[in-house]
Amino acid sequence: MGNPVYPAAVHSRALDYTGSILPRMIPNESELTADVSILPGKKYGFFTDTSLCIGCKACEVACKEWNILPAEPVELTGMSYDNTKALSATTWRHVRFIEKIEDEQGGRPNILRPFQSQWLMMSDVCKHCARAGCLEACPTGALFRTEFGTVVVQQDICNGCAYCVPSCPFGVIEISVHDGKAHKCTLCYDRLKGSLEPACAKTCPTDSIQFGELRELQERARKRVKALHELGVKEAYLYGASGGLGATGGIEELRAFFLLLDRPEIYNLPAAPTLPSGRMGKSLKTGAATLMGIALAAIFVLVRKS
Amino acid sequence: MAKENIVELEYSRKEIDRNRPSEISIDLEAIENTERSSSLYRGENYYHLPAVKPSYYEWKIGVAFFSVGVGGISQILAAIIDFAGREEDRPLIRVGRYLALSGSLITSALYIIDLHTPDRWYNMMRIFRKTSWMSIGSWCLASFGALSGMTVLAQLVEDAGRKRLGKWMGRLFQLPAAAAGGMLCLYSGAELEATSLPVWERSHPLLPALFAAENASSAASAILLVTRNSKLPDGMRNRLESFSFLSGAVEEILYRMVSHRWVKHPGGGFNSGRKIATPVSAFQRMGTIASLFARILRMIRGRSSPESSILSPLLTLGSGLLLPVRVLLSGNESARYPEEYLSDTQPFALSERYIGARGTENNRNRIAKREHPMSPFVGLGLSLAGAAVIVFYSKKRGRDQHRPEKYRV
Repeated sequence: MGNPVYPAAVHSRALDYTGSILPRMIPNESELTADVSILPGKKYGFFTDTSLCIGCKACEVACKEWNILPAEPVELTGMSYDNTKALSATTWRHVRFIEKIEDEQGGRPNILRPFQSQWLMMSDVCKHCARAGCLEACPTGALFRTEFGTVVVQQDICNGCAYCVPSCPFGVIEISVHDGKAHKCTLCYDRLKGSLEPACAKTCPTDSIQFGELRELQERARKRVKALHELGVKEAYLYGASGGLGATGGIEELRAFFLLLDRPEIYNLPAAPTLPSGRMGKSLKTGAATLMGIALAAIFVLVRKS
Repeated sequence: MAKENIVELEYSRKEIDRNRPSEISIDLEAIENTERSSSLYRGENYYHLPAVKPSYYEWKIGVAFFSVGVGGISQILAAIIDFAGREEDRPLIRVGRYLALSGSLITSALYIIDLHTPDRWYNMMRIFRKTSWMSIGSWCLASFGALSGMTVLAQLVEDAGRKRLGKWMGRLFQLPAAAAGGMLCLYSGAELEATSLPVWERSHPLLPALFAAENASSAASAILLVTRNSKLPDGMRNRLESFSFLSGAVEEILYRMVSHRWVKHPGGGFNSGRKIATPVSAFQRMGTIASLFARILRMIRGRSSPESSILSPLLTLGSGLLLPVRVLLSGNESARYPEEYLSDTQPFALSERYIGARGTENNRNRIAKREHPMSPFVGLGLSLAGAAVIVFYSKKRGRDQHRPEKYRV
């Protein structure tokens, strides 16, 4: 063990083993932990395989720890194990639990199905859409596309106009009551800059959350879906793959995509969302036509011949 | 899944996939047309937790939409009279320009106050993003404020004595200001439509038209209200009221069309008129109809007292103010119901149109039959009839009642 580095103010009970055992950061650590080198200019994302999720919520905790996000008031919701309820300005990973207690006929099942039996668990996150509703709506330019293909809010520019909030087709981004600006998952932009993989992906014990280059992840995902189908799990499908469910209406693809085991609405995901800016042209044309008509009416009514 | 709430949900009528069929690269393997992921949506949701987040826009933004719209239309009316009106009608240009400037100032102030970090309001001018209605609107508002200021300056120059200079300076800035004003009337509705909230999304593409019509009737009423104690040119008062009711009739038509789209499931779930928005919506509808009746009553009586001459415009303004507020409140409330959003975002792309033979009975979209209640058409008929009566009656009469002149316009 090298010289441990003690942080400034730590409770004495927590002092044991708080220092790092390594003298410095491992360069290109993502090559060790995620088998991917993080280079600017390439597209990176998440593949969240819900068939492997055990619902431990380590991703929620790691995200909060790394980004120093405040905890929410503890509230037991009665919604299975989900006490977080939704993504918010201070929750950037949110684990969903669905207990399918009834079978199709409404009775109790007496045969357990393979893979998670009657339990669906899914770690929700910002989808970092290839064409993002929030990004296209932001008037200040605070939301931008990083060199890694992710969508990030620049906190020193955002003025809290909150137009991104209703624009997001997945209800991800929110204005924080603490500082009046918009916050969402950054895909650990700061960690990517240091060649570390994102906190949630690193901490996931079952590798349900996988980080990597987008094309590679998509290939891996397709192979996984095939493998699951062969094992008898016919409901497995990809949500957010190019042209598939979740990436419709101009969104093209979700850079944080999912393997789901039931219909998307069960997970509170829209089956076929649309990019809001696709509606701009028709709105303007219809409105302009009406305004022309009103102006003509005004000329007709108000202008008199001399 | 709870059985009591299974209703036949109507699919959204809009086209989900904007690409042409030949350009779509649908990954058929990825979709894996399974029973679960492609069968009819029966209202499943996740513990009734919202699937989208409501906006933070409430009364401040509603009032701001109203005031900038009134200002924009005032500038358009001023432009019409400036370029095509008679010499006697020119005092109205002054009213229009002042209304436009005050509208833009009030709206700017309200927008800045409503920001969650107001001291960074100038960041709106950092970039111009053509995919964002808010960006387009911010730039339009800034230029409209500047141009309206210049038209007011020109008006002051004209009033101070330099008539020719003032008139031509005013004309120089009037058209661009009117153009910016027109854009401002439309962008507020378009901005709401380009979001993911169910009620606003369903109103596409009618919301800008609705707001524009409401702004037109409110602007004419505002001019009438402001000039209630002044002597307007002969017949102008009647003409303005006619225009106000004509726009009001258009607004009524559009409002019926829009609100008809909001309620998709009459049986249960979200009803846009029921919950929080109800008192607001009641006053808003009352104001429009009451204004019409007040005017007709006055016309029948043949008398004009100072009180009755402001009642009708005041009611129109009141209902015009409440319309954007009501639309905002309804939209925010609709975000709380996941069934609404999730049923709006069902995939048409999985239908036969795109996949071809893969479409099965499960995939085919079934549109529930919707009853057409009679009440909207009654209200519509009343408005149209009233507007027509006023338009033709006032054209016939043409003359205004004389009242003691208190202020010069």
